[in-house]
Amino acid sequence: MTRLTRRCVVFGLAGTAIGLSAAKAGAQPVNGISADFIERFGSGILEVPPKVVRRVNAASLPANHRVLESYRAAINAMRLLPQSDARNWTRIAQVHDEHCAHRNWYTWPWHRAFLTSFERVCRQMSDDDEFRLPYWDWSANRQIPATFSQQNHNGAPNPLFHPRGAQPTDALPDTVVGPSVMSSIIGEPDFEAFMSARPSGQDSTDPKWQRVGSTQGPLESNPHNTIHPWIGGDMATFVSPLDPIFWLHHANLDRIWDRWNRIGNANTSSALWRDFRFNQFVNPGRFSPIGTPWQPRVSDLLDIEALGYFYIRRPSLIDMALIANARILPKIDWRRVLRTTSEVSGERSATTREALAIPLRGLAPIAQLTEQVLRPMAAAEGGDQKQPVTSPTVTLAGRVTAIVEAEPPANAPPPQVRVFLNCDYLSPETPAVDPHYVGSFSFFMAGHGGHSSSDESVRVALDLTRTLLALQDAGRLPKDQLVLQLQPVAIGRGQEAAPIKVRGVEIETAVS
Amino acid sequence: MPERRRHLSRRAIFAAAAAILGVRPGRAEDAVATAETPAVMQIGAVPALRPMGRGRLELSLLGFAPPSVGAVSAVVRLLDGSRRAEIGRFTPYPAIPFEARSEEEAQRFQFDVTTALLASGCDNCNIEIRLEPVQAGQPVTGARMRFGTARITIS
Repeated sequence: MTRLTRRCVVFGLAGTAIGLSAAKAGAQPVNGISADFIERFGSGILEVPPKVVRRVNAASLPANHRVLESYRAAINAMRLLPQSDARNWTRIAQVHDEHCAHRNWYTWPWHRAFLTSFERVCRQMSDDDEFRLPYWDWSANRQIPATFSQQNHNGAPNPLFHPRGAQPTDALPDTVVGPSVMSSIIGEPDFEAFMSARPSGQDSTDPKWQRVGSTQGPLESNPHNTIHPWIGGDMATFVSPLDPIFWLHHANLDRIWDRWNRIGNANTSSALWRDFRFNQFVNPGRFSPIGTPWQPRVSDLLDIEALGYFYIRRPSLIDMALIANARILPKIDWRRVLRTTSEVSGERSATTREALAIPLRGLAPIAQLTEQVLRPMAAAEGGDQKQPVTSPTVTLAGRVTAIVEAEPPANAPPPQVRVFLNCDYLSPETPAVDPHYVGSFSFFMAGHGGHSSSDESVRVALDLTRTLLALQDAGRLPKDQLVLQLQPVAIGRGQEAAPIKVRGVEIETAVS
Repeated sequence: MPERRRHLSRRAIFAAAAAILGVRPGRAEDAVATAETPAVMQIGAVPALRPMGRGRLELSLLGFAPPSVGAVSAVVRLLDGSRRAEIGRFTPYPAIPFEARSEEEAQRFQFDVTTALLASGCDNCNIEIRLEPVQAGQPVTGARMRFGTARITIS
């Protein structure tokens, strides 16, 4: 429960004094402070700068972790508060029901403010000043975090549990949160396409525009919208904050917006967006233990460290793979490409049980190669590289491509061939989301007519750049030599792929 | 000079209008997708993309009934003859029934169709919207979506 500290009392008295003076000024007071007062002094006057603490991935937290214990304590305390208290659990859900911005460009800043306000209530109610909301990275961990599906915790009802439609074993599919969905979202360069668009016809910062619908971008329409009804129960409705998982879902969406900014995408400079003010939030524990109004403008919400939190500063492995998969590969000037050939001694075979490993000899040393190729560059329109970083569009400085020449099996169905780089634990089950994964190819129409011939060999170009980037990010780049691995997999369950023959590999390195 | 300015602005207006291709449903019933039947909306021909150009589809949803159990996604595909390319998915939120009385009350969704246009072109395109369960294998009985307009914008 809340501990009444000396600081609460001091701020409480100060808040009352401010409230009284504001009321004297004749404006309509809200929780003791008038809108006029806030308008005159701005939202920042109410803030004691919070500590900056990292929001962590829920998947990394054991059930008894301090973050989860504080969250449980805060929820229990909020549920015990009377309905008249703005920090009451149900009252907070009503704020979403009655005021949430959706289907327009205020969706993500409104929810950032909502989460920040809620996080402050949690800190106060749990008496844990370090508490920051964890996030549920549903792209990497497709099931609802296990601690939210357990009805009891340490012999008592678990406040993180909530009745839901989704079962603990249900997993979000690729069509909602998979790499292709997420890479197209992260790779979207247009602000209104990423954020959802400006309300149709908006011509002022009047509060009425907060809930005027416009065109939803893909981050909102899928995955955000889809995950709500997929979880089901209250999450399918606008009282979704009654389910404790709501806050982790939205923390992850907030993280994706932050990541989108961090990779070089700028928010709009439109005053209609930046100067818009949200009027529905409370800021507890500063001037008044029960909360004073917190009415941030969108521009007050763009620096998350000023709000007291940050996300992992180094992009996660999956983020890097997504970013790399998106539009950061540079255009190539093919006249400046360096070609090297890796001999494959004789014609070597790859089978399901024995993948073929081909050392890529003749390449520049790995440290030099990655320095040349993986260096971020600002890209001008048209894809040319000019100045090192922080222009709105970023590309890498180069690309590395492998060209594999292979022959399908004779008199047998052609397999799919999965290609990896330096994967020590490679097996037919190693998934395509593995950081060592490069790509796949197959042999279209091979074997038709009842025979195969050398004419049916294929040359396949595979971009290695994004894999190098993912391995570098994971600290898994080899020190000595790159090894390309070809793993045939039968198309069709339970079968073993017939062997393929590999004739050679060429590597093309292009550096701008 | 004023003559020339007027001429230029007319040209600009014409160019802007030409870049936006309004799309209408073929017949009213075609614009309704149910668990059993997809909605199909005619687009017609879309001009070729310019270098570095982009194409976007904007789709308006006028009515929605959620399935009795589970969650439903609308899978949006661009059809051109026998070729079909998925261009995106969406789910309305909250998952409660709604009926818009006009286009102003519609929920709108946009999709990047650049890759689909580059891959297949669009000489005589249709948009198909098919309802599928988010969780594979779950029925989407009772789900229904009614669409208003769709348009592709080339920039």
